[in-house]
Amino acid sequence: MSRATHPVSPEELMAYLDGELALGRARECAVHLEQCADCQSLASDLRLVGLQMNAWQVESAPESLKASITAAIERHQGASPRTKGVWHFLTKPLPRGAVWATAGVAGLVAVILLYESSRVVTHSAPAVSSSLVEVSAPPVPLPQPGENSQTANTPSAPMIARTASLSMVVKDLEQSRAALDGILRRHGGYAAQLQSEAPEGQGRTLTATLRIPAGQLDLVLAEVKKLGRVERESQGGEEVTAQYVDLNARLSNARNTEQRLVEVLNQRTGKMADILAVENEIARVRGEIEQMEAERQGLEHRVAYSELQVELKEEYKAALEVAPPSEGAQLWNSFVDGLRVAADSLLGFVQILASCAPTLLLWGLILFWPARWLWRRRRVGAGAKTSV
Amino acid sequence: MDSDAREVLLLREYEQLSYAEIATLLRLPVNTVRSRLFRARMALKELLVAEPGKA
Repeated sequence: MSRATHPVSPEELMAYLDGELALGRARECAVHLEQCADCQSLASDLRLVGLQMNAWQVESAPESLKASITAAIERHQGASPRTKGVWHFLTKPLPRGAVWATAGVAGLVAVILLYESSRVVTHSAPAVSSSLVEVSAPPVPLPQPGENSQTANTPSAPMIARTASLSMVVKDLEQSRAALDGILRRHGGYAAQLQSEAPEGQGRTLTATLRIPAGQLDLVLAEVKKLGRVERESQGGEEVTAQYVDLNARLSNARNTEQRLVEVLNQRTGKMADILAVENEIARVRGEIEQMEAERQGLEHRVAYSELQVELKEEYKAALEVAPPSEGAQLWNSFVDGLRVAADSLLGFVQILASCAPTLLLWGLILFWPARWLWRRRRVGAGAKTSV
Repeated sequence: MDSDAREVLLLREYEQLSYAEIATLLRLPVNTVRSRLFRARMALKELLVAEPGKA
């Protein structure tokens, strides 16, 4: 891949991930990293290498080997006031800057282990340089995954913020709530939020956001599920390793910058304005550091405490269903319906009448006299004819 | 992987020294440390890709 267009060299990108880049440059790097797929892939490669190196472990040595090593050490050093130290060395990571004697012993261990194991990537080479002896020696004290082997920048295992949600129907809400409290207490969790509702015409509900220590989540889930019938369940996990590593890198960069600024402040005897400018800068960087630390703690908390959303619904006691009616009852029902229809139609007729009555009355009054006059004239006319 | 690169990688990953500390220890410029470390990590990545089971 061509890197001609990248504002950041691959080495700089690596230094950024290691928290070894100056703050200004680190910011450019962070911005570029967000946009550039090539660099993202390189960064993930680098992180992977770090993670894998930290996860490496050598299979535990057989007891006989330990015995022979102890014997060799005793031969090597005469009487053994150091034996305890050697065991300490075998089980714990070698502290930085170990004494030369330990380095020599460690070299011996490395040689023996090299014969024992057929690993491809070995840590010991034919003495590269004198300063390397203490480094190349110990394949034994490689950090174990479970151990406290988190380095400043690379967590040994992927960090995953787990979430789960449960929706359940329970018989008795009060009882379930008490049980839920008991579960929380037993597993060292706590309720971040809890809400209870009792709407009319529906069952009561309880929604809660619980925080459970990550290792206990599965146990808690199993216990909560026993409270009732599970309607819906979902689980998820967000991998935050990359976010965490980036944050650590930025934090480390900011700390370096702060240190340099403090040094500048201590050494320079410049103009007042310069000193003030440096102090302002220090205040700004410290603010950034605090913000990032809070962010990091939040992230760690999310990983350490899984989030569990619980929704408990009380079984709603709906109105009792009536058994299907018998034939007689059906007939009676139809008759009653018929009566009701008849009454309705009568009422409708009366209503129509009532609504039309004023109009009819009005026209009746208006047309009464002419009609009567016409009627009489016809009767008179008819009487005249008959009399003629 | 060549021994120079491996040396830097081990100092960084297992001894957790900073670039500057490694540079002082090996009497090298920091930039050299950085480029060796990069070379080592890339080489290690190739090894891991080639033989993932052995890692």
